[in-house]
Amino acid sequence: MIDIKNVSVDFRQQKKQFTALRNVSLSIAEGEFICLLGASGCGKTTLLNAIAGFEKISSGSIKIAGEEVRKPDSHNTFLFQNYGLLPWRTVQHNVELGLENNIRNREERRKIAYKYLRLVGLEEFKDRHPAQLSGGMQQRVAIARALAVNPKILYMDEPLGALDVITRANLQDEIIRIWREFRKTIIFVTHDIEEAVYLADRVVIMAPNPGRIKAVLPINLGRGRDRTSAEFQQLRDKVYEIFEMKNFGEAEYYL
Amino acid sequence: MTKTIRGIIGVLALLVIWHIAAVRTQSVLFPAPLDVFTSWIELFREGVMWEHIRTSMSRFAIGYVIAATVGIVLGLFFGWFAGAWSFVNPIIQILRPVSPIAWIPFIVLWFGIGDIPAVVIIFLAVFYPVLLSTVSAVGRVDKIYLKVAQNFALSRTQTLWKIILPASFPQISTGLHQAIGTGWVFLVAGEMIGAQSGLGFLIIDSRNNLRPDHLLAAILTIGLIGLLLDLMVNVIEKQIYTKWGK
Repeated sequence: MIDIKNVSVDFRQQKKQFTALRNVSLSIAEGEFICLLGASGCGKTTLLNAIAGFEKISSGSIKIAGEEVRKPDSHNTFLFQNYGLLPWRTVQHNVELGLENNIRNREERRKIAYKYLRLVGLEEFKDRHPAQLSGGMQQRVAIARALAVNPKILYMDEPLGALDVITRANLQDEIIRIWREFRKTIIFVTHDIEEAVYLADRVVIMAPNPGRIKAVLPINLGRGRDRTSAEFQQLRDKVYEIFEMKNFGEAEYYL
Repeated sequence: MTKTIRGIIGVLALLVIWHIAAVRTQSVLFPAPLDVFTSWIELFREGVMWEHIRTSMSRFAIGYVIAATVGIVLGLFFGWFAGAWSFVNPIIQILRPVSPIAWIPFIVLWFGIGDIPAVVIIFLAVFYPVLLSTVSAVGRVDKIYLKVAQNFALSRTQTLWKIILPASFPQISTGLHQAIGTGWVFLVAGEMIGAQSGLGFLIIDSRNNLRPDHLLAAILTIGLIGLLLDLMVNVIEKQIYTKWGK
């Protein structure tokens, strides 16, 4: 469904050319949950922005359902690390933002917003302003806003990066629940190895200088994954291995 | 001791010092606080003060509203099109430090004497701070809001009204607040030279009639109204900030 072929992205910074992505190819199936994993500078966010149409590519092609991506598409929505909620709007009106162009009827918009706020468990907070909510709640509002336009693809740029571990785990489960219920395609950028293994159907492991795909690791674990299970640990170790972060041999003597 | 009580004590102390000084000097040119207060009440009773206040306030309102509207609209435009702003910015930077008073000869020559000079002076005093704070506010709008607007396919006009204006409003309101004070300061100057009515004119008129008590009454009124305007803006600003969640 999403076809990325030989994509390179070059930036120009003070007359110096900088290659953010080189020759990236990847195919993503409809309904798939993909995690782009890597350290900062590996181009994972650039790749996400390119797929979402926020970043111009220098060469190659990105097609969604056979159509070349040229600009952001309101049918595919973006989640940001710092939520991107509009602080002057109530929770309800934030969720309605994406509906205002297509649904003229106020009452109908209100109903749709309410439906998605209920989905994320925040219907009681609909008249609050974002600043009155915790970070986790704000991201839930952003999820409701993203879902309200009934997107095919959800782009998530480290959406849980600013949250504490427990809130983060809860929201991971929530995202999985929503993904399974609505069968969206999700492309999720993270630098957290465990998060990637927990969420993804396939983890795309990226490396820097220049940004590229190092490996694609299928996660053949069922849903309702157990972070403490042996299989989970094995896959996680595998990622560490690919990153060459695992110490073999003598390092273990120090333990 | 609360801040209010301290404030009241400060004002009372000033009145006492003023009174003693006035009694000691025994000069017709230096009226005591009680005399000023009596004249002040008298001016109100006769309706003279109300008339001047009404005139000044309406000039102020007209000048302020026009300047703020033009300043915000142009500020949004130039903040949005940063390229165009580079053409205009140097001109503004040269004109801005010029006191509105410096324009008075021209203003009087062009518009005569009456409401317009005072309104133009207020316009000049209010326009620049509002314009500059708006341009800078628009430039500082968090890029993430623009990305959200792009993502939800908002048109340029929609982005302006739904995103840029509200996102920059807290900072614009700082400029509006500052401009209220400046505008009020220059109103008096404008009326002293270019008008035959209003609080500024009352000052000139009192001088011509050798009524220092009226003069001080006028000054007192100007100060109190300035204070009230500021308090009013503070209340409005607080409401805005609550709404914006700050």
